[in-house]
Amino acid sequence: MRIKSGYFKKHLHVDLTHGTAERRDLSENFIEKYIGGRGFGAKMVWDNLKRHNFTIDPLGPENLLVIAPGPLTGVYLPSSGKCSFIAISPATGLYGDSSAGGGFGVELRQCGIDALSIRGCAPELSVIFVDGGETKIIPMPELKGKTCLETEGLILDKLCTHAVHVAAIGVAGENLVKFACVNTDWSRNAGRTGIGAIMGSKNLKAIVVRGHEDLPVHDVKGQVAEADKAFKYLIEGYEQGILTLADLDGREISWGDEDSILKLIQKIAMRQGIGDILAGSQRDGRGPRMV
Amino acid sequence: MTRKLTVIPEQCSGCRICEIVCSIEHFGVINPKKSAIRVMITYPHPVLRMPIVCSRCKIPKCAQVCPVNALRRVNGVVRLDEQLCISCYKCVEACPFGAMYAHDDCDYPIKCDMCGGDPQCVKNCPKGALKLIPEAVLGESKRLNNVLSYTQMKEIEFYEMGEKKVIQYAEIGKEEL
Repeated sequence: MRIKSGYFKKHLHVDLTHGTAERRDLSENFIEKYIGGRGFGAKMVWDNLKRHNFTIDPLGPENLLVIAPGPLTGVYLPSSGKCSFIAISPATGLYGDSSAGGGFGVELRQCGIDALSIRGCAPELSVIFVDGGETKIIPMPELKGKTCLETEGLILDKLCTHAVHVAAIGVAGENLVKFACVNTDWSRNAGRTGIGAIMGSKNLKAIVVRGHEDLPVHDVKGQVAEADKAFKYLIEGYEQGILTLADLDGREISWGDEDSILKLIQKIAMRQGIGDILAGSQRDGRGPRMV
Repeated sequence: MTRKLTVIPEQCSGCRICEIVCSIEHFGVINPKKSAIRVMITYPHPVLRMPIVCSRCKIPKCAQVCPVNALRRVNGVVRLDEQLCISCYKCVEACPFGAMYAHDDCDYPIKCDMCGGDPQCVKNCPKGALKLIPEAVLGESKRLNNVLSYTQMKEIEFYEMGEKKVIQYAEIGKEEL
């Protein structure tokens, strides 16, 4: 097995029709093949689709909604705080995914799970509360007709805490508008493909998470160093003699040389000298691949 | 010279990198809930992001309420002596800023120890919202702002005994400069 860490190897499956929640193991094979986030979601949604003979009503109880952060969510890396919402989209009838930033994905991982999958339909408007190891489905019919922000505020009041993260739908989601958003963490939205309508169709007003577990990282100190490798290939290239001093516009660059790296960033922004090459994308001819 | 860990909440973006580096430094894990600093975010009215840090009080409430005297001020930093601590968490409740924390996995309350004089949170804050500054210059920016506000004196006219008079005043405390 090549994967040493980064996963809890668990996913939480909630059935709203029967009001049950259980933690299931994720096999190492599954993790290695589908990595996390959208990968997990796409596979789970596909399996569910096959189980139903490829006829799923996106707004029916059989549609599976998967909420999956990735294996890097919440660690010390730039842009790693995303959490994906995956289901069969009511807008297109096809695979749909949408992602939101903020702290919701991190908090979901801290509950000790790699993904949360929801199916079924609750008898009345409910809220799923994942509180560390336990999961509760709380009926809250009083939230009907409330907007996202009102919902989040009322939930925080009811649970008497600010240390939770909430993903809620508003009025559009309840009314099954086919492009309704999910609003997480007050102002972060999973806006595309109508995931809000799917939550509305399941009578699910919000998902509340609170967790305390350590995030599994194989080499904690190592990943902090990894985060600083934005200019790795450039500096390495210079040290190994692939790049010459003339390529770098006569300015030496080395590890930990904060000053020249900052100058380089400025050059990229102004598209001067080597900065012009670095500012290109990897795909077009003028990208860093040329170097 | 005593230095104080201060916060500029207007600069904080709410990225919570300080929480992550704190937990790495003290526990060797990534877990924002095991850090001695927390970013509180309020929304929607008002939108505020405020890192809660230990204020290194000279008369520390946490040490005052400790029944076994496990919290002591050494070189300006209140330190927790884990040999003496009985984990009653009275200090966590007593801190007026809520800057001490408890976690299920930890046997002792989590207390900021300033990383031995070189706090990781200050080093890693990408926005410069956390600063380690000498005590003597605390409030300097406010003082300067208030002084400068006299250059934009406001006027009100009024009549007294049929005579027109003008009063000039400065809006102290309003940092609009």
